Amino acid sequence: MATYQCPDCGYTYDEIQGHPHEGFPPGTLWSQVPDDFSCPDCAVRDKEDFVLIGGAPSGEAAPAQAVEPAPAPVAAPAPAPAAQIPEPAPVAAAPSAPAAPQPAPAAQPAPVAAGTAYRKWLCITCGHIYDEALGDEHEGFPAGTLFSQIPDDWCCPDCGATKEDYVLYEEK
Amino acid sequence: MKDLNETGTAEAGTVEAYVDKKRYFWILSVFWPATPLIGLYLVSTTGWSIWYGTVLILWYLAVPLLDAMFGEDFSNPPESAVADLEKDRYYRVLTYLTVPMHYAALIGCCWWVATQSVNAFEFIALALSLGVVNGLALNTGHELGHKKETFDRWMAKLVLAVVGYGHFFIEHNKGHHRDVATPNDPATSRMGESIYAFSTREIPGAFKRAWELEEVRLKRSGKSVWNLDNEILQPLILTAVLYAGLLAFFGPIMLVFLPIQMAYGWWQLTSANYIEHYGLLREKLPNGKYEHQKPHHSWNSNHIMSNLILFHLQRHSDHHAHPTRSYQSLRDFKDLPALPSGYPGMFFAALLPSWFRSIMDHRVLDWAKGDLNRIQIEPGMREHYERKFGSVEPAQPAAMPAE
Repeated sequence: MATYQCPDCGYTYDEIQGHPHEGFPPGTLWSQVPDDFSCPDCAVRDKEDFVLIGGAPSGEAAPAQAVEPAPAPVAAPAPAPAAQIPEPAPVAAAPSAPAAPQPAPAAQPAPVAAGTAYRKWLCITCGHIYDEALGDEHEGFPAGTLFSQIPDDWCCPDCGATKEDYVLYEEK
Repeated sequence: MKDLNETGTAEAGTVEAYVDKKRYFWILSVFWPATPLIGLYLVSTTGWSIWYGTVLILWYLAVPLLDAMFGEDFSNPPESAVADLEKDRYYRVLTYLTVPMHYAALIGCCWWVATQSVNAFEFIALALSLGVVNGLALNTGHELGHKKETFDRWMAKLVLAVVGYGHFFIEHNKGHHRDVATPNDPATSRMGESIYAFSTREIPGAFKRAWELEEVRLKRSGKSVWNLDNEILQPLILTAVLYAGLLAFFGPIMLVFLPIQMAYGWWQLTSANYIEHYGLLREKLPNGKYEHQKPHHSWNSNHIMSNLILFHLQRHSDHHAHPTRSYQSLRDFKDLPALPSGYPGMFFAALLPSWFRSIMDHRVLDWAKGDLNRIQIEPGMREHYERKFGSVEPAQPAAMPAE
């Protein structure tokens, strides 16, 4: 059984509890939730945007993964399931499912930079990710530019949110 | 501040507490629905019938002037203060208090027209005044309906019942927010579309979408849509009971008075939907889906005066990017598409389509960086805009990624 979270508003879908009001009885697996499901609280994120925050995905379908399919050069210890997802509305969040450590997503080949503690930062407004390993050529930050080295008055290239609106982004 | 300068910088650990300057001004949003009653009080003390139109004068004239005078407020709460702001019950209680105000305004005005002698002009002025403030019952219901607690959502249904627009709760949260700024959204207006044409698309389209959403939800539980769990029927029943009660108490004049105020209440919502996303379009991604709802997919207004009577509704960009964020923590962002006045002024301008277009069309074009393909245009108006603004060569999209 697994728990999935809306990356915008913090709504959680727990397979154990389901969501009877929406017509998903307890025990409804995430894979059984229709693909056109939108977050019932904010409606601005869809099923595929949801992030696995606890438990192991059951069923045949692949888990919804992170906001953008960037390759994962992060070597940092990832599986800390608690509060890395921003929650603009801190209401009744705590995912109830005990979080079993997950198998690392052995998908992408590890790039050269593996080992360096480069991190990723998530714009809580639009989901843009700044990846220190890749930098952002268009913005004038060469690969390896740390977030802390970016000027404080820099704004999100996608939506104009401020640097303050970025939070540390950790992948499962 | 002086201390800070003398010691150079703030010492570590002394975080300056954020003070919300608007904290107590939000009470204006609570009292605004009572304005027709204040007008009636003035009528009774002075005997001047002009006071029947108090709301109309304030809404269409005084507030736009005050918006121009006081200007805009670009300040944001720092992200570190938002968690506390969201937790602060004070702000939420204000929205609860607004609910009985709408009921008081409705019942008070109904009592007045039933018991006092009013001429046709006064009657219409009062019905429209009530329509304006109870159109804002939709605003109160909007703020409450976006919250996650069951109590708040019931308060939303309760206040929406005042204007008989209970389906807003479903339509807006699950429909409009999902589809905003796409051709699928009947509540997003197109460039060149007049508010009158828009209303014929928006009002039925919104109801249809809400009904379908509820149908899908209830079907999943194996229930019929004709069921008391239907969250459109719940507030509708409240409205029926309320209006039947008013009719029983105040007599047949309600058959004229209630529909006028209700229709003008709905018109306020139509006006808001009309101006909030005029012409804007989200980009379609290669996978056929639309890009996420970002702040620049809504017209924003930072005008102080109108925001204070509207629970910050006009900070619409942040609202659409983060629908569950509370009104007190909504932010402004750099380079947002911005309205030149607050909603009241824009609502008025919208009544005169050519005036509205002369204000907004070039702003939409600037927003789209001159590319008509990135704008939602009213069918039949495309040629007009191509002639007016010049068509853009199709090479444009190819050049985009390189930039």
